[in-house]
Amino acid sequence: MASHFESPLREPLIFGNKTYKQITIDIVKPTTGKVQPKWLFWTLVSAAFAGLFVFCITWEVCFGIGTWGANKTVGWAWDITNFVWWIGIGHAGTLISAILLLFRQKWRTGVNRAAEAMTIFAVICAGQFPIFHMGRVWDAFFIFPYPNTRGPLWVNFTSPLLWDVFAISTYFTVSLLFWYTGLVPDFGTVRDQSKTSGRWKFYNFLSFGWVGSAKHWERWESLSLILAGLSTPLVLSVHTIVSFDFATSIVPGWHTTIMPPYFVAGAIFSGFAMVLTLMLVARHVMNLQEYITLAHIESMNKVMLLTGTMVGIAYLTELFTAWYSGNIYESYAFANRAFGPYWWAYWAMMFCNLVSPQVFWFRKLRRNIAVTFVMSILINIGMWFERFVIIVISLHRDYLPSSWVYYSPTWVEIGIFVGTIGLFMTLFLLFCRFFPAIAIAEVKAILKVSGNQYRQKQLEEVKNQEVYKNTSVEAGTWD
Amino acid sequence: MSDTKKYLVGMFDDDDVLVHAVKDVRNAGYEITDAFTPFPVHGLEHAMGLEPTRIHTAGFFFGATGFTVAFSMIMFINKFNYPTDFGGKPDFGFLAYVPIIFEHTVLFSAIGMTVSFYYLCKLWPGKKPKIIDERTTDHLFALTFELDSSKDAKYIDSVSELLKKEGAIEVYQKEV
Amino acid sequence: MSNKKYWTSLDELNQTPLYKEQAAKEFNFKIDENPADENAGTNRRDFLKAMGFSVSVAALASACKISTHKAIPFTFDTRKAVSEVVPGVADYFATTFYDGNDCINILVKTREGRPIKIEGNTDSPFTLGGTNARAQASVLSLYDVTRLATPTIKNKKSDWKAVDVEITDKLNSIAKIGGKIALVTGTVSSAITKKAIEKFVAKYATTTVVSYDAISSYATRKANQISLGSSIIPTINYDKADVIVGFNSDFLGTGISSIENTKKYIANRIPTKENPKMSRHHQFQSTMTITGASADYRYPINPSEEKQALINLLAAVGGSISGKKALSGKDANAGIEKVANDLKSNKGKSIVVSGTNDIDIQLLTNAINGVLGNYGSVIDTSNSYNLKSGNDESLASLANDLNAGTYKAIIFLGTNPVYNTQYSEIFKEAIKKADLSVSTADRPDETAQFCQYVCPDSHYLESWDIITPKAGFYSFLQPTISNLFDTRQTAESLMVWSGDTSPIAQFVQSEVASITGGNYQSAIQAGFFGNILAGSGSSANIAASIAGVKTEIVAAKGMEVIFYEKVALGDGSYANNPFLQEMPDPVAKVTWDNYVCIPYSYAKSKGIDAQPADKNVPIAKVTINGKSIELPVLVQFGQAANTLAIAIGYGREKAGRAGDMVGKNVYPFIKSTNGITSYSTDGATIELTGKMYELALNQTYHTLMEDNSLPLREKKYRGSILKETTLAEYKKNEHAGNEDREKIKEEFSHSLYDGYKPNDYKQGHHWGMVVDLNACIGCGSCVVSCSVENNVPVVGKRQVYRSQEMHWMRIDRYYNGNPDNPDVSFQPMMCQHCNNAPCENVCPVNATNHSSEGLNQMAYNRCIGTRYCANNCPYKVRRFNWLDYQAVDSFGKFNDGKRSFTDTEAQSYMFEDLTRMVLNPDVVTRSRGVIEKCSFCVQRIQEGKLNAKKEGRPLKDGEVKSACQTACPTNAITFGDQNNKESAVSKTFENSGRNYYVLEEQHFLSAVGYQVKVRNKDEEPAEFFIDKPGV
Repeated sequence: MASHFESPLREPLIFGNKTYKQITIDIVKPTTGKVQPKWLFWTLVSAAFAGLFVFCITWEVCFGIGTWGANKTVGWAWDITNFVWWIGIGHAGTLISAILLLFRQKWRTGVNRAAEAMTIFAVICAGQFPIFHMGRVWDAFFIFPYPNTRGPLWVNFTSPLLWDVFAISTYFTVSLLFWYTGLVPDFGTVRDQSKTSGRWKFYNFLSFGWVGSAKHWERWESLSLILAGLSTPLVLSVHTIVSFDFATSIVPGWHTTIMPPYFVAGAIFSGFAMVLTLMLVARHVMNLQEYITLAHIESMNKVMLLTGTMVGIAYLTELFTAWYSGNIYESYAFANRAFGPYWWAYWAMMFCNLVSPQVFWFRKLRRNIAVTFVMSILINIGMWFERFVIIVISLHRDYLPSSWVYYSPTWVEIGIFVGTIGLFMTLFLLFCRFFPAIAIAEVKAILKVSGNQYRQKQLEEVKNQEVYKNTSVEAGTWD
Repeated sequence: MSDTKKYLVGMFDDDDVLVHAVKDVRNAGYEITDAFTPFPVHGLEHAMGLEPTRIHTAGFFFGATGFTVAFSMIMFINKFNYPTDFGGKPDFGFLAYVPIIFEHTVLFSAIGMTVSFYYLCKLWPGKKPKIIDERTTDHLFALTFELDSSKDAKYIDSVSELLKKEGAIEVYQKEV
Repeated sequence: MSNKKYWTSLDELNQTPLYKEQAAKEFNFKIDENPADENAGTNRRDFLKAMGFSVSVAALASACKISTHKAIPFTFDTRKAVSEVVPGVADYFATTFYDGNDCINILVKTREGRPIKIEGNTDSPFTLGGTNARAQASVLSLYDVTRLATPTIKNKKSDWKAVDVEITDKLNSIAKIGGKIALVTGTVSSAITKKAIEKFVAKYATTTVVSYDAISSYATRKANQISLGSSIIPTINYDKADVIVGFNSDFLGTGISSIENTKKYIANRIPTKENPKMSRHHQFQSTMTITGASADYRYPINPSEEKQALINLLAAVGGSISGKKALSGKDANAGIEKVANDLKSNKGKSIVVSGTNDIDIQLLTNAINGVLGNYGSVIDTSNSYNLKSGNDESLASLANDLNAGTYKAIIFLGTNPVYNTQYSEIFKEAIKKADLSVSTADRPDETAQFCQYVCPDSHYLESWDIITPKAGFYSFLQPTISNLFDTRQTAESLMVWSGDTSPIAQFVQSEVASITGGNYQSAIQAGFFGNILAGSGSSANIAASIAGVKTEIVAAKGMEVIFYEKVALGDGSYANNPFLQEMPDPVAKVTWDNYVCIPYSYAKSKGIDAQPADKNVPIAKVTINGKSIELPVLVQFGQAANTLAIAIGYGREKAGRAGDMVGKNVYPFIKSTNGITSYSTDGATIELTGKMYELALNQTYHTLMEDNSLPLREKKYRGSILKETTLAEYKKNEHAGNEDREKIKEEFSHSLYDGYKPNDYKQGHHWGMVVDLNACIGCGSCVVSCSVENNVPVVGKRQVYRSQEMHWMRIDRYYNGNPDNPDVSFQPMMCQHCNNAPCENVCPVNATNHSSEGLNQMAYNRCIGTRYCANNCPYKVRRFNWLDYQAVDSFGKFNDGKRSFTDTEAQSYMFEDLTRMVLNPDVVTRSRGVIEKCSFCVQRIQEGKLNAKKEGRPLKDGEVKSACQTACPTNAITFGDQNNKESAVSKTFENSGRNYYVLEEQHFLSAVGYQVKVRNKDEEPAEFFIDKPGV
């Protein structure tokens, strides 16, 4: 069938001679059956850390921001660092679903569901920081332009922080819609697989009563496509706008036009790293090797190599511009990053983000699970340091040397950060347990294209054709 | 949805077979009420001759609304209702408002489209679905023919005949 | 009819017709006739009119038939008071701030009866309206909750009757058997206390009066006994001196009558286009003080070398003295030559002073001044001080006698020898042994805690007194509020014990009347009487002086230590004043601590980081003659190579919540050589303990020169922040050091927004400020004044360590040149109120924007505390309420200072209701989580505009003065309207070639202009040095 044809040289994305039935069974299984102790244990651990988050936030709100190490010169520290870090992580999901959908990258189907979920949870974590870094969080609603009796009294539309408010909320909403609309048919599937009426009701509620009529499918596809089309500029805009917080300011080291592209690349970079970290775990724990294949991992490693190198180039460009500009404040800011009191943060960033990803030039390492996992962790760390470098190191020494200070975090700040990771993992584990972690319908849709057995058939068919005469590819040589 | 309808259902186990069958059945002059598939089958909508959805058009208009709302809101607030003197900047520097206007456009468009999708499909949380065959969300594909008073036994037989010939693994009647 | 009244303006004082008319307009209210008015007589009404809006508590009193010897609290009989006091309008009372060292004429601003602010009394010919940080902060100590509320017997509450009975009984019985009584006082410049003591001595013949100063100038008096024949401390007219040479003399900061001297000093330090002339100031110093910082030339010398240096100098200026010997520092040697030349070419127009308490050294300076003929011109012996009249020898002999147990009774007149003398143990023992021990301290301090009786003295703002800082000049104290507690003035206590129960107020009044020849009212209103006569006086007997000098010099062994006094805390009596504790030391920039200052060269050899970025400094063990003490280490640039310096006045144990256990007490290390207390010693060793200490620094990086340890970078100097030049250059070109301004102006004449014309605030007022870097001596008076005026919270040591201090105004201190002997520059820094304020466009909620008068204003209630504005402020002057410092938190009193379960709690010093009485009602207290900053004292601007409006006239220049401006003893700060072409500010902005704006090239268009610092040097300012910042 023409619609199903793609070059037989391409690597299959689904192994183990799956049938539609088999796919359903495999993916629905985790949501049914008894609670595995392994899952329960990790969920409780994560929940404990989420609890730490709640405790530290309460502490900070009760006593004040003074419980942090932030100070007169370094007004933003771990709070905004973590915010940008989480937001960056939150980019991969939408990117995978949206941009790869537009580019018709079939390999996305294996990972997009979980990646999107991760996006949602990451943005939830990110959202905590701009809210709780406020001195008077109980007045946080001031940032919305609502008509009021104090009037006229409105917000300041030229403030990048206000842009953030709109960007983040929009991004969260759209991602949520996109994600859930994708989930609806699969909830239908889970519903129809459910044995008990309770489960049936639960999943039917989630599925909005989906039955998979042809007309619905048509609208559904069109909606997904346009949401993808909207999300693509959106995902680029969000981190651009976050970078405006810095780019539009006057702080040496912040005030640079390179910020937007550099931030976006960094976001994708860190996002993919986090997706991989989770994927490799999920793949292992939930035995999804046949759906999340080395092909997936390799493609994502390629993206990380690309974006990582882009980020690296941005670092070097910054240094050059700073030196070439001759502006003493600018050039000092960057020299200070590399050789000032925080040199270790800078070089940690350089190593993790620029140097280490270069291993992915080698196919062997790209396809090596262990290497990939370590790299994904390294990159997460590196990207956190990048934000720390940009925010804290630029602030702590700016124009007037009299105000230069050294910043170090308190246990409250650390607790809040670790806490958000707990929050994130809790949500993700709950997702794995109760939601179909892989897009059932979409996988089925590409079965005939990228399913191993079909690929083998095609190979047999085309073996003797002229075009493939000189190719050495044999059945099953991809692993 | 109190009143139930009677359907003739033909089950298929392969999407290619299904699409082929749909074409033939329609060429034979029978009207297919609906098809149920576990995933979006490419070419099925053409085979069934469904008219293309206009949901993206809706999306455009929602977006336009968002743009207008954002632009006029900022214009009204900063230029007329509450002009303040800050940072030696002009009251209405348009460039500074692009981000928010853009975000509004996207937000309105996305929400509007999604809402209209569920509205058009008549889907809402807790809806009681009319399920022809539970396997259609799993691995089988169904074609349904509504059996109203005008359809006599002859019609049923001939359609069943045709479906079997086209590769239906089973054909049965069901009232939902 | 009472014959007392208070005044707020000269108009009122002199009763000008204009004033009378206005006053009449203001208060033509109907006075309810009641029988009491008969006593007041018919002229009462006119009198009230005449008083205008000042409070006449006494007139009221007379009307109410209350004996008039007490000031009446505002709350008394409001039925009457209301008609006298206009709520919301401040009343000013003239009084005097006095501690043994300074006597400052001040005006006390009271609101609704509460003293809330100290201002200088600009009419005073003595201090000319100057104040220092101690005076500014003193209003807070009035509301100090640690003060005793009643007299105590054996540390138990009691009442005056009981105390007086017991004390007088004991005194009598002791006197009967001829037991000796010791009366331990500080310097007594109070005519009243003097009289009281006389009475006491007359009553109890066996009394010996011993007066001592914790920080003594006794040697000066002793030396003058030899040189001048009388043991005086003469007035020095620094304004008449063209060459000033100081030897370890901190006459600008902590020296005797520092405000008077600062005023004189600065009079000859500001060159102008018309008259480009300033005195040249050489300073020989062991450590760095603000006096040394203001000097044009500094020469580090070890304390032991000071005498040698003076001998060399004396010889060099032509004195006949033997024993010339080269000094260890080559700077100093070269310096002697240079100084000698300057001096010789300025005979009669120069001065050599030393602050060292050593007879030889004082004799040498006398001899040098004699040789140079400075007596009569610069040194005025006819105007000598009654300040600093403590006697070291009598203290020493008292100690001996106490050891011997000769004294049956000891009475401490507010003195605290257990803490602030080296005889601590002796006093402790003696007090325990004595039959009677009394202290009049206002709190159970280190000495009072052991005494049987504590008879708390009243705060000076509650007291009557007459201070005579100099013969012929009288400075009056009057109560600005009635006693907050059941306290009693020391003088009154003494009189009661000597059987004279006449109330002190009457006594003072009669004294004043007799002093002023009956001209009582105007005297009390003015707050002073008499004039500072510019006399000449006798010259020093050079021969005698030189003869008196013991020329042999013992070489110092080991390291030398100099014990110095800090500008803020002084001898430690101010320890419980949080404003002073938090005021950064002008030079070291440390708050809430003392420490051992080590020279840069030594730090280098030991690898100690001179600029510890993280404020963690090593703790060193200093051992002096067997006794040792552990102190944090601070690297002090410009300190003599072989010298350590430690501040006295710290380590109080019974000062109160703020002052206890802050720093370490080093009084026990002070030794006295043949009766003279010496504040330096040798034979010290220092070793690092390996422990680290969190030092509450609020400046960790000390230069405008960038770190040249960074590779690929040439040294760069941030020249647009602080500009300076030399007098020679300035004479050639009034734009010297400021040449780049024209270029900058041109570059920024264009705007990015085509066709958009930003608001240039040419309508109405446009407030601006001028800061003269030449005048600023860094004393920190403005910092405290700003805090008091604007309710700026004190945050405590831990928060300062975390760089979370709240000062709206700070004084940046930069070093340049050779780290072993750098130039020092001070730069007051507050909100610059930029027209293009970067903080404004980043606030998401519009909480900060520009007023039509060019003020960058904060809407506290709108602020949600994102701190984005603070990040985006290039001057880093925005302050964030990290914690609930003012105990005004909507979340309840998490930080009321009573809880200790969180180490991150705010050290709130403002939670007691009594302490909060100092808050300025015109300025709102800020809640936790909002940004605040300098407002250009907008409340004062509004007040000034209102007054002008009421009188239907335009605002006059100088009518509105910011708090920092009024506090500045050198008039370094001028505030005014840029749109008023006649105002001092706009004149300076337009005409002064020295005027520049900080970071002007960044085009923030700030409203605060700075005046280029001019040093009276021959050569260019040294190249800016860099010390690698801490990593």
